[in-house]
Amino acid sequence: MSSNSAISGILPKAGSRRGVNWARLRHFAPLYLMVLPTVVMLLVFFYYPAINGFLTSFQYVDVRGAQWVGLDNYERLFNDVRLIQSFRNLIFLAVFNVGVVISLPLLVAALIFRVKNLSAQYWWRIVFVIPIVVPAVASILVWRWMYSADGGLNILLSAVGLGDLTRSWLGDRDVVMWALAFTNFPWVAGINFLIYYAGLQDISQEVLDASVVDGATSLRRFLSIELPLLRPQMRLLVLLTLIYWMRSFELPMIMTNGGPGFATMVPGLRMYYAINRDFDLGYGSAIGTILFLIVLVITLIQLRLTRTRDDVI
Amino acid sequence: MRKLHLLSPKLFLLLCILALSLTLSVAGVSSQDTPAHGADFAGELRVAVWGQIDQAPDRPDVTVVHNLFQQWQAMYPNVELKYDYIGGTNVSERFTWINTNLLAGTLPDAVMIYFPGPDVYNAADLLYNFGDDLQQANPYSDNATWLEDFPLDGLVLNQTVSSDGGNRVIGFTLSGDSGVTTYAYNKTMFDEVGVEPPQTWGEFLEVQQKLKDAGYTPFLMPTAGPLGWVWNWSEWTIREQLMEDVIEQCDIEEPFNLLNDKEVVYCIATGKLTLEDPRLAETWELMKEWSQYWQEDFLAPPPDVDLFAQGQVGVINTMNLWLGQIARNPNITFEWGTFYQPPVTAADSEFGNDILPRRVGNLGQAGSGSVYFFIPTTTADRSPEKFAMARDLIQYVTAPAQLDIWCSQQPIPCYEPGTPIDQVYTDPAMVVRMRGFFEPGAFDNGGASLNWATFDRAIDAEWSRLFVEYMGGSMTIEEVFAEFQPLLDDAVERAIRAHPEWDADSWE
Repeated sequence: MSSNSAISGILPKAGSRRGVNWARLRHFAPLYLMVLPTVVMLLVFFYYPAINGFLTSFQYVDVRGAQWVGLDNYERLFNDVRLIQSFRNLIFLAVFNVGVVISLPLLVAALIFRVKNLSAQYWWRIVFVIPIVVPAVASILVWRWMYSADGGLNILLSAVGLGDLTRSWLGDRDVVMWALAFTNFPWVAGINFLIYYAGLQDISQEVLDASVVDGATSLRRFLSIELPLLRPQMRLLVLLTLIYWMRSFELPMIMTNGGPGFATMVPGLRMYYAINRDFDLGYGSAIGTILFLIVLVITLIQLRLTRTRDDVI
Repeated sequence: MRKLHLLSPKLFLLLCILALSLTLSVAGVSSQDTPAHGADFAGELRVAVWGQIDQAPDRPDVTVVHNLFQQWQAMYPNVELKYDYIGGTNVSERFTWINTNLLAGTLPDAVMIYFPGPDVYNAADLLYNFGDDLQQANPYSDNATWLEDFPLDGLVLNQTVSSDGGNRVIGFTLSGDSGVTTYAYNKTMFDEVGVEPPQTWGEFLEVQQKLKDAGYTPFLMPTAGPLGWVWNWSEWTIREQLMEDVIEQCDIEEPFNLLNDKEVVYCIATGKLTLEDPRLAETWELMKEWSQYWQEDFLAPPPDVDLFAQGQVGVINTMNLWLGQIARNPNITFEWGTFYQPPVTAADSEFGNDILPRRVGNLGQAGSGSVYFFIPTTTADRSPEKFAMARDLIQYVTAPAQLDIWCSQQPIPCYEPGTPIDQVYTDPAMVVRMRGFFEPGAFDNGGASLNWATFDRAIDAEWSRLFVEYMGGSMTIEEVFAEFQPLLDDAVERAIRAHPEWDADSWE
């Protein structure tokens, strides 16, 4: 029996869209079973909490139990001036980091891609990839020391005769958001760099050679060939960056705890405190639901914008 | 049989008497060391404990609890006592763990906690009420009732009476003075500058000015970072001093001299405690005036070094549980002492008075820790046997004999209230170090009163952030209070909705 005839029994027949194809099910049963644990985990640890959180956002919850309060938590949310401020902070950090992610890692990747000596190129790559192994929390703590009153930044400024510029970087609300934004400067190391670099390697050598034959300068080649062909990577990184900053709050949490006052508060941190410190589960869930909706909308817009003719949706 | 016949009646009688005596003596030992009430205890008993109490040699205040648990376990070899470490690394995370499990009905058979908060002891329907038990004898005590085992007429229990009058959280002992109103100071630095511990708020500021003039940082007051909540102690104790009459007006039910969540909500809902009270604003203005003596970047998280230990800072907040860390710090080579928070007098403020800031905790007898226990109602529902064991365990560790052991292992030993400090400590250096915990003497107040956290931790956190906004100069007091008012109204409304048994409609 040929393989074609073996499969033919399990493939859906033309016009037989209704009913259960038991033969097909039996054939793929081992595969379904292998996927089943993942699906169950997904349902238990992702979908159930998400749905439960959504339902909790309509309740007042304390240790005595839960009461259905309708849209009260959302009303609180939209009247919470500090939450609105925290969204402003979030937008600042997200936009700033989108700007970062589409510029500096790309620039460094393009520069290293141009290094002629392969050995030197390899070592440059290593230099920019190794920082990935540093835990994010450790990196943030180092930067917190950098910004402290007697930390690295003030020491550096004093050493170069700019002592007048020294300040409490994390205690001064006029600069604290910028201090957070500049954490991990110059932002080139890590995954972002690697994604761009992989994208550059994926560009056909023939196309690049043709541009050289046509007399394109290195800058022209970057602007007219590499940059357009790297658009998928840029879209991906922009999307990932936006989603990351929507969900993330470890930077302000470790660095400033959202302070001074509310100066560096972001919605994720406010949600964390509502649930984990204040035990205000209903309100925290309402914030979480709104954040989810924002991420969902961003993702859908992004998918819509990046949809190509090859996408089968 | 034949040999028995050989025994004379006298010898037989003597043997019988000996056997009877032996039996009685054994029974006597049993009733003393292994009470009949627990003779049939068997099985597993799980206790949620506040951190790794069995692995904390540097923390005598928790190690002693572990030791007492082990003593109880030794009496009942058929019981397997197991610990569940309460999750989280700080107080709020641990309470979240407790709350979550309390709500889910998944707490272990008994729970050991520190400083019970409103969300624990006001969950009246989820915690077992020890009220009846306290009126009966503790099997491990000679007192007529368990209540009599607690010093000072059970004053410690006042702090945890829920708004329906129930005793659902049992204090291991008196809380002692937790030290919230006590400051530690660098005596060597004070001597060098030529200043003494202050007696009034005005003197306090003068002392700090002299320290500042000498080039020191007078006071370390974190408003961010791991100890970013410590400033709240001073703010709330000053507020309570200035507004003592409000506490009296709102103290509508027992235990008196202490406001529970219901009373604070009553106080706000009836307008007795209002943000328009100028004394609230005055408290913040006093804090702002004081802040000129705090570390320069007090709005930022402080560095991860101990500036007090380095001799750079003159005065810090302290509490009794931290005393060991100061005393055992090898880097502290200078002399240090403690003093009590000076009162804001009429000379210091138009709202000043002669009232001393309220002590948080009770100075004196039976130690200086704040360990409490409770039993979730789920334990009694699941297994009466486990409930009986859990209650027995708590009765054992709170019996007078065990209180003595507890006292002997605390940072500040137990003593009768009013005992002069030099009768407790003979070493003059210790007198200087502990003075702030002894003088002024004990008085019967317990914990927080005019504190938002008493009924809603979320708005207390908002209050703290707004305070920092004010201290940083980005908001005025009027702006802060205008923003806080609707949050407060909402919180009061939520609390009333959650407590229909308060019958808030009848409040006047």
